[in-house]
Amino acid sequence: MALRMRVFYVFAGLAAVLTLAGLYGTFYATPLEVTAIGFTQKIFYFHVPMAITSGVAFGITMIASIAYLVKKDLKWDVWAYVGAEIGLVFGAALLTMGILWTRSTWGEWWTWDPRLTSYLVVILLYGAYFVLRSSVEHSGERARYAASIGVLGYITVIFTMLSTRILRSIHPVLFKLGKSGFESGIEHQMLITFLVAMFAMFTLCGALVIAKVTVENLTEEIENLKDEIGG
Amino acid sequence: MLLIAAASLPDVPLENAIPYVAAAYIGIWVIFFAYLLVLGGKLSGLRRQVEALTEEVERKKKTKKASV
Repeated sequence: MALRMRVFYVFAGLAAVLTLAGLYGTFYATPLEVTAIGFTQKIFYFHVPMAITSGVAFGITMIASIAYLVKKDLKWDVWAYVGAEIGLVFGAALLTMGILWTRSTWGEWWTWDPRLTSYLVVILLYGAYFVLRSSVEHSGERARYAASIGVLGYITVIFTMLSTRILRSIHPVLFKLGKSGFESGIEHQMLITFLVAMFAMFTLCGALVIAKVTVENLTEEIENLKDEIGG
Repeated sequence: MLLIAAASLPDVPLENAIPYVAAAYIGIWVIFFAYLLVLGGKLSGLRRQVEALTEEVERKKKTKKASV
């Protein structure tokens, strides 16, 4: 537990430093004049990393769910649950940013664009994951049902990632797959700022995952101690 | 940012864009800080509970030994 907390502090410290650097880059180091959409593009430096990070967190849920289904070890169920919760936190922040950008640029709070709609489905699905968990009492059954959603739910995440490429969408695309790999029109300072924001979100995600897993482990430890006292 | 699909997007005047960008950045940090506060509160509460319960278990073990 002591080592885990040390790792948590390293991640949290890195997240704080990288976030400040990312914000500095976003508002001071990146140019405005090369953009087609003006100041509202400042949202993208953190919006896109948040989207990727929420996908990574839901990926943790998917991998841990598979691990649970294979090994039947409840430890993996905890990781799956934690991944889904952190993914939803990032998802909520992502939607907040996205909705404000939509309002400022398109003049509407919401449009039923494939990217927005499919991400809303992702959020609702992982919300349902928690409803399901709270409605099943037996831990083994709960873990099994939740793992099924954890694995199948990731299809909606992949679909959201691909939605702007396979469907007609007005959502901006930052990177696209070209002949020479990923292509974008981002300038050097913009790319650096984007990458800093990306690592800030990854380290923040790591810190939150460690903190949440610790909470779950302590809760389990309390139950065991209570049993010991009771017995 | 030279977004690939940016051609179809309008250039929003700076004075109109600032409140939205500010609200977006404030909004996300409010969400993260609120979540961190909830997690931190839970963690310290659980730690205190574990310490208290561990002490109780130790006390129980000692009294058991003494009675034997």
